[in-house]
This record gives sequence, C-alpha cells and structure tokens, in this order.
Amino acid sequence: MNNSKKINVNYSSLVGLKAELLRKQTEVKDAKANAEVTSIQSKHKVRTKKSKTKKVKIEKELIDTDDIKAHKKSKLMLEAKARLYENLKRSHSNKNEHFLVDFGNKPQSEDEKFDSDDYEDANSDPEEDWVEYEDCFGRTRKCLRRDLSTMQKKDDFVKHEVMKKSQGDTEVEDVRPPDVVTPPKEPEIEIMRRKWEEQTEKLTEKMNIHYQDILFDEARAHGVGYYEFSQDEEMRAKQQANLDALRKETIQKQKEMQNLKEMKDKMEQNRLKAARIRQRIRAGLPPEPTDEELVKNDEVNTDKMEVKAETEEKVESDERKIIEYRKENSLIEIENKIKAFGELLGKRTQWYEMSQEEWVYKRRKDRDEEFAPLYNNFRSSGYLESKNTDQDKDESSASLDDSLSGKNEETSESPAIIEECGTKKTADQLDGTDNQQSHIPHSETSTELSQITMPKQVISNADTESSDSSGSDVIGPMPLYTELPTQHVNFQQTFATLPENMRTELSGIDFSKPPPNMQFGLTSDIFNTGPELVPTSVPPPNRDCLPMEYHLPDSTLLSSITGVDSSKRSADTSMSDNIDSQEPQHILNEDKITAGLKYLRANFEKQKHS
Amino acid sequence: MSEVKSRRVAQSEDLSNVEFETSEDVEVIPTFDNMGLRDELLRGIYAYGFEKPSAIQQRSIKPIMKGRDVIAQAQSGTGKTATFSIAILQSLDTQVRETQVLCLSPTRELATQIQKVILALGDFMNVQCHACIGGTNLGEDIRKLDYGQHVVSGTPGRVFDMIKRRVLRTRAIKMLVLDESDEMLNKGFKEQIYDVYRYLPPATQVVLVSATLPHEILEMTSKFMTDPIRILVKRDELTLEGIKQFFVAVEREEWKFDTLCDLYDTLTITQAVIFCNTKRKVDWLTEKMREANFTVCSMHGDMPQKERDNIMKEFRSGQSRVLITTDVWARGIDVQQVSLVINYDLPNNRELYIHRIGRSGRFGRKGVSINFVKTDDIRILRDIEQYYSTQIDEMPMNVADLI
Repeated sequence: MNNSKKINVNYSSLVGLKAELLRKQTEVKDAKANAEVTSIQSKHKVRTKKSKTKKVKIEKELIDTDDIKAHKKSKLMLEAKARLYENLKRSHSNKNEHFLVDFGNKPQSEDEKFDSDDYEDANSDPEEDWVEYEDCFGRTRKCLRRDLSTMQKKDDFVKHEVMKKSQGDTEVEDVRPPDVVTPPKEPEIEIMRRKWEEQTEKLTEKMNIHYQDILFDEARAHGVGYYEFSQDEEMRAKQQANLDALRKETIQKQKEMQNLKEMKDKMEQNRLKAARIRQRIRAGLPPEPTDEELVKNDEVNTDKMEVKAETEEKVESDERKIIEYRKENSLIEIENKIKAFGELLGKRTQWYEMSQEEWVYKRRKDRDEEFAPLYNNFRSSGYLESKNTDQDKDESSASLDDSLSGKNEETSESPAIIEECGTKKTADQLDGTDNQQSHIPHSETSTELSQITMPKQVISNADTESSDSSGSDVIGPMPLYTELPTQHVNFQQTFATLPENMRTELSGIDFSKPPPNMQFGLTSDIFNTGPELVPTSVPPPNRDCLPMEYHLPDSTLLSSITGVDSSKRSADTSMSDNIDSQEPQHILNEDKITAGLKYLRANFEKQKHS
Repeated sequence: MSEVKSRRVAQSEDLSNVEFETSEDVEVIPTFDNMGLRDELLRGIYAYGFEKPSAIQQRSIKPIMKGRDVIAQAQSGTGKTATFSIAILQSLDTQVRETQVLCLSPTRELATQIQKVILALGDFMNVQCHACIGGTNLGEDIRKLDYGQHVVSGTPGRVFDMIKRRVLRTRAIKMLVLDESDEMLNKGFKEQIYDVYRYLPPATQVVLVSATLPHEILEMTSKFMTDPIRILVKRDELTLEGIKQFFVAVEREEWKFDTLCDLYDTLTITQAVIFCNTKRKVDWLTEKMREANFTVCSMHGDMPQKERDNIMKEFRSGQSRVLITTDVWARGIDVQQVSLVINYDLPNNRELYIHRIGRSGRFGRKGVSINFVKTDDIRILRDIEQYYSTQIDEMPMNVADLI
C-alpha cells in the first residue's frame, strides 16, 4: 500500500506530525508513571473488549429485544451476587466448606492491596519492588518484595487446604473441567475419542497398516463376505491362512460334486440307452440302427429325443431297472435269438406281444379238459344249448384233437408261446402288475384257483355262467369271482344258522366281514371292483339256501349292480366276447382264428403307434 | 474411429469449440467376475459390499487396467473411487515394496478416505497404502514411506514435499490418479500438480476422475495425457433421480437460522451435512446452534488436523449426526448414512452444487437436499436448475418422509 501510494509532504503536515509526536511521548511518560499492574489489567480489558467487538460485529444484526432482556436479567443476577458477597465479607466467617473463596481473609487482603496501592503512589520507582513468583496452582503472580513472605505463607496455606480437599473428595475437581471446556461434550464421544487416540498411537508403531486398523468404528454396511481380520499381525496371518484353507476345501468339494453329477448323468444316459433298446425290441425294429442312434445320442448329450425318452422312462416300472444294467449286447443277443426262432418257425418274423384275448384263448387251450367249460353248450347269448348234440360231439372231438396234438398246436401258435415264455419270465420276476399284461395274471390265477380249490359242482356252475356274461342278468364274469363262492357258501350257511334277530341285524351289513375280508381285499384290489359287488359272486345254487329276508331286497340290487358290472366288463373284454361267440361256428377253422388274431394285432399296434 | 477423433483433438490448437464425447470403443463388462481380476481382489470387492459393478465401473475398470489414460466422469456416489481403486489394485505387484501408484486428492479427508477404500478392497491382498497428507507428523510420514508403500494417496503439498526430500521415490510409479480432477486442475492446485507430474517417470499412466468435468478442464487434458479413453456424462444426466432437491425461500438472512432449528428433528433422522460458504460462518452457526441447545459438530480447514480427524471419526461412526462445514467437505467424502444436505448458503459455482448434494444418496441410496435461498438467490438456483435440467421444488411439509 505504502509503495503504491505516495504521501504528499509539505510543511504544515510536518509541523502537525511533530506536534502529534510530542503529545504521544508525554502520554507514554504519564503511562509509565502509573502502576504496572493497572496497565496489565487494562491490557486484558482491551483484549476482551476487542473480542467482544468482534462478536458484536457478527451479531450486530441479530441483537433485538431478547438480548436486552437477557442483559437485564444478568445484571439483576450480578447485583444479587454482589450483595451476597458483601454479606459474606462482612460476616468474616468461613464456616461453609463449599465456598472456594476464603472470605475470612479476603477483606483483609483487599485492604492490604489498597494500602499498597496508596503506598506505591507515594513512593518512587515501583518497578524494582515488584517481584514475580509462582503460586501453588502454577500461576505466575506479582507482589511487592516486602510482601513476598506473607504471600508465600498464604500460598502454602492454600496449598495445604487444597491437598486436604483433594484427598477428601475428588468430586470438586471432577466437576470443574467440564465447566472450563466451552462446548459441553457428551461422555460417550469422549470415550470414543480416547479410544481412537490410543489406536492411532498404536498405529504409529505399526508398520503394516490394514483396513481394520483405520476403520475407527465407522458405521458402514459391508458385504456378507466381509471378514474382520484381527489388528494383530500374527492373528491376522492365522485368520487368513484359515480362510484360505476353507476356500480350498470348498473348491475341492465343488469339484467332487461336479464329478458326482457327471457320474449320475452318465448312469442316466446308460439307462436311457437300455430303455431305447427295449422299446425297439418291443416295436420289432432291427437293432442295427439302434446302435448307431445310441452312438449319436451319446455324442450329443442333450437332445430332444432324449427328453422324450426320459419322460417315457419315468413311466416305466421297476422291471426296467433290472434290465437297464444289462449290457446292450445281451439284449441284442436275445433279440437276435428271438428273431432266429421266428424265422425257424417260418410263421412270423416279427416278435410281438399277445393281446388279452389271444392270451386267454391260449390259456383255455392249455387247460385240463376236465375243468374246461363246455363252450358248445352255450349259445352266443349265453343260454344253455341242449339241441345240437352233433355240434357237441364236434366240439369235444375238436378239443380232443387239441389235447392230442397239443404240441403241434402250440408250435403252430409259436408267437404266442414265445410271448408266453417272455411274459412268464417277467411275471415271475415281478409282482405281475405290469401295465401291458395286467390281465394275464388274473386269468391265470383265477384258472389256477378254479382248478385247485373249487368243488366240482360249483365250478361247473361258475364256468357255465362265466362263459358268457352279456346275456346273464345275475352272474358276474368268470375270471373275476370264481375263487369266491366256496367261502361265500360257508359264510352264508353260517349266516343262515344264526338266530332270527341277529340275522335281521346282520342283513343290513355288508358281507365284507373278517374271514372273507382278506379275499375281498385281494379281489377288489386286482379287479378294481368295490365290495358292493360281492353279492354278485354268489352262484345260483347257493341262492337257494339264502334266507328270504336277505334274498328279496337283494335281487333288485343285484340286477342293477350286475348290469353296471356287465357293461363295464363288456367294455373291457368285448373282444373276448366276440371270440367266444364265434367259437362254436369256427372252432375248427384255425386259419380264420389266426387271421382274426392278426387283425386284432394290427389294430393293437395301430393304437400303440398312434 | 474415436481414437482417430481423440488424436485429432490432441493435435488441434483451439479446443474451445470441440465437443468432448464418450469414446466409442468402450467395452461394457456387466460383472466383476468377467473383468479378469485376481482372486483376492474379487473377494475384497465382494467383502466390501459391491455385488454388481455400477455403470462407470463396468466401463472404466478395464481400460485403466490395460494401462490406457482414462478420463472417467460419473454421477456422485456411483463408485468412482472404487473404480480406480480396483484398477490400481489389479495392476499392483505386491511383491515389489515400492510406490507404484500415486493418487492425489484436493482434501486431506478425501485422501484418507481413498486410502481406506484401497486398504478395504485389497484386504485379502495385504496391500500397503499410505495417506500422505499435510498436518501430520513429518517424521512418521517419512518412516512409513521409507518402509515401502504400494500406493500413496495424498494431497499435493505434502506429496511434493516428500518427493523433493527423496523419501517418496517415484521411479516405480506407473500410474497417477487425480481424484476430483477438475478441482485438482483448477487454479489453486494446477501448479502443484504440474510440480509433482514433472517428477514422475515419462510413461506414467494418468487417470482423471470426477463427477464434474467442465470444458476447460477437458481442454487442458491434452497437455499431459496421451490418447485418453473418455467416459463422460452429459450435464443433463448428472443429477441423480434418487436425490430430491428442494428450496426454502427466506426473506432475510436471520430467518435461515430459525428454519434450520425447525428442521433439526428432520436432520437427526439419519445424518445431515450443512454447508456454509465461509469458515467464520460455520463457527458462528455452530455457536448459535449450541446456544439453542442443539447438538451439532463442525469442521473446516482452519481447525487443527487432529481435531478434523476426530470430527471425521465421530461423524463416520455416527456419534454425531449433524455436521456444519464448508466446501472442504463438498467433494468425495462418503458417509453412507448421510441422507440430507442443507445448503445454508448457495454454493459459489454450479459444480460445487452437484458435489454438495452428492454427499447424500450414496451408492443408490435415497437423499434429500434443501437449499436456503434469499429472494435474490432464487435467480441463482433457477440457473442451476436449468443448467443441469433438473427440478428444484419448494420444500413440502412432509420432507421427513422422503429421507
């Protein structure tokens, strides 16, 4: 500023300057003459005033009535305080321990001070007499040399008092510091600050600084993978080693799981392979393309074909599981053998599954003649035929022929036999609940039962009735209920022998009682018929021995049930009915039968393909 | 295409009419897994809480890793610091105990924060990062640097001092990062940056990062960057949807204080930062708030560093909830829980506005900013609103619901 702006100097201004200088000098002299103490005090005052003016400058705009009120209030308070002090001073007693000011001594010292001031004014050269000393609180103080001893005595006394107090209760000291610190800090923050300070001090010595060292309780949301390592270097290394080990373990486990998954995939692949081969065998397709296909499928793991095969696979029963572990070679071998056998017979090159009707027909032929129903005695509608004895003879001779040339006949129906072998095998291996051959075991078991357990009379009746179903109004199908009658007879007989009142009671109850229950369960399980159907199995001869009260209401019920039942059954075995009805006329014409069978076969396969 | 363009940009003399655009061949990598990062670093990233890279992270980590000069701009709180920190950590050789990366920031607090982020992301790598900032013990600084640090994050003054003393050896430095680069290349810092830059090896890779990159700064970059990859944000996309902006109109300056007192309950819902334009005003407002029995803390550049550190720790740990401060706090500081920013005074320039309101709404969180405007300030606010194509409405009564 001074350099840039030159001051104009002329005589008048110089004179003015000299006058000003002189005035200042005299002022300084005057000031020196005054006491040092006062000057120091005044300096302090000036400082506070300056800071006050600063504040005033800032707050200037904001002063309003509130401030004035506050000012008044403080003034009143100060006045009150002054009065209190005055009282204490005058009383000259210091009994109250809470006051830090020694009011007993205070008025005296003040008097002395006044005295000294007066003295000072009177005496010259005060500077030499002033001595600095340090009091017990570490403050530098000034006093006159001659007062030094008394002041020190006083100081010692104060020191003694303070020591006593600090020993007695530390509360006083604890209360004091927060009053001194301008912003009142919460203790929690203070604790934290101290903690952080200690931490930072530690950090100065630590060479390797990590994230945890400088986190300082920061409120930060970390990821789930966050691991708070120890601040101790050794511990940290250990934790990291641990973590690495865990990581390696995880990777290894993942690898193992992957391997296992691959194995499973491979196994499934093999399973699918086997399933496809079997399907081909069933469909009578040559095995060669199958092999190629399999190779292709192996190459291309995820294929649409496979997905299809997979769904088919799920439907397949336990039987498959047994076969699926066989080598494909053995399957192909079997297939080849079958093919060769078929060729040898010169009948059918294609292997196929028997239909229900074919199977029944074949089984009937196998049956011991003695136990076989006399088909010739029945018309197509199921009535007994008494007229045509010639036909009877023919029939019997035919059946005889059959029995005589049993082997030949069988060989002539080679596919059926082969089929039978195959099914028998599977039936032996399994429960006989295979989907496609579900009917076969029924007839088998039923015939077996009829052969073994039934009394002759009953069987003949049952058989005659069962040979036809659509015409009869009372009797159920032969294969279904042949095994029941014997037990029913017993039961009903016992029923009949029961006393009247009990009979009436029991008449309402169904026959599914303990002893026959097992049988019912079996039959109903196998044939999917409810227990209500049980009465239908009662053969006509037994009905005679039934009591009236049971018989009468039942007949209507029975007819309705059998009606339902027969319709059901006709749906099931309509084809067999056809065959049965045709049998009497074309019993000798084997070719026609086989032609019919062929036709049925074709139909069956068509259905299957669609 | 863009390379040719940028080269042309570098050659031409007058750049004032050139429009800078994002480079065209920027690859977008949607996951951290696909970035080709080392295993320990990936673990550090996920441990820190990142799951999916933000837009800027998807684009700029790879080019920085590859060694290209990069100018990266992104909205506040979208993970810029993490972006260059990840790239730095990936390019480090932790076996070499020498300073390989130098990172400069305008404030000590920001430099410390960057150190923290690098240490956090590199926790599994056992990386060494030192905060070389003013106001700390010189001897300790020298000792730490002598021990060997992979990364040095600091403020220009102290870093330059250390370089001159040959305590900070620059021969192994391969990357210089300027965080808040527009501020670093402003008048106040430019000379100091150039001083430091002169001591670095000639092939040093330079990375500039900021939320705001004014045109004049982009013009300047051609002087010390070679063929940089630019990832820029248009200024009308610079404000975040997640940060709601409001204003309160006051007739006189004194009313601001009353408004602030009325808002105090809202401030303490989570954490809040109040910006004043001068240190004196910060002191005055703090004093007045305390007189009115409100708990607040304050921080500005005239405080001793130790006190600044303590205030930062208090605020970061959530011990204090309301911070009154100056623009020393405007840039880069990341405290997750801050959801409210109050501009007690409007900032002196448009860039500062973006940075100030960006203290809230960190990494996808919600935020609210409230501007106290006197009648003659409304014009400035409207200018800001227009410049960034954003919306600053009058504060609704239910402002607390938005936090």
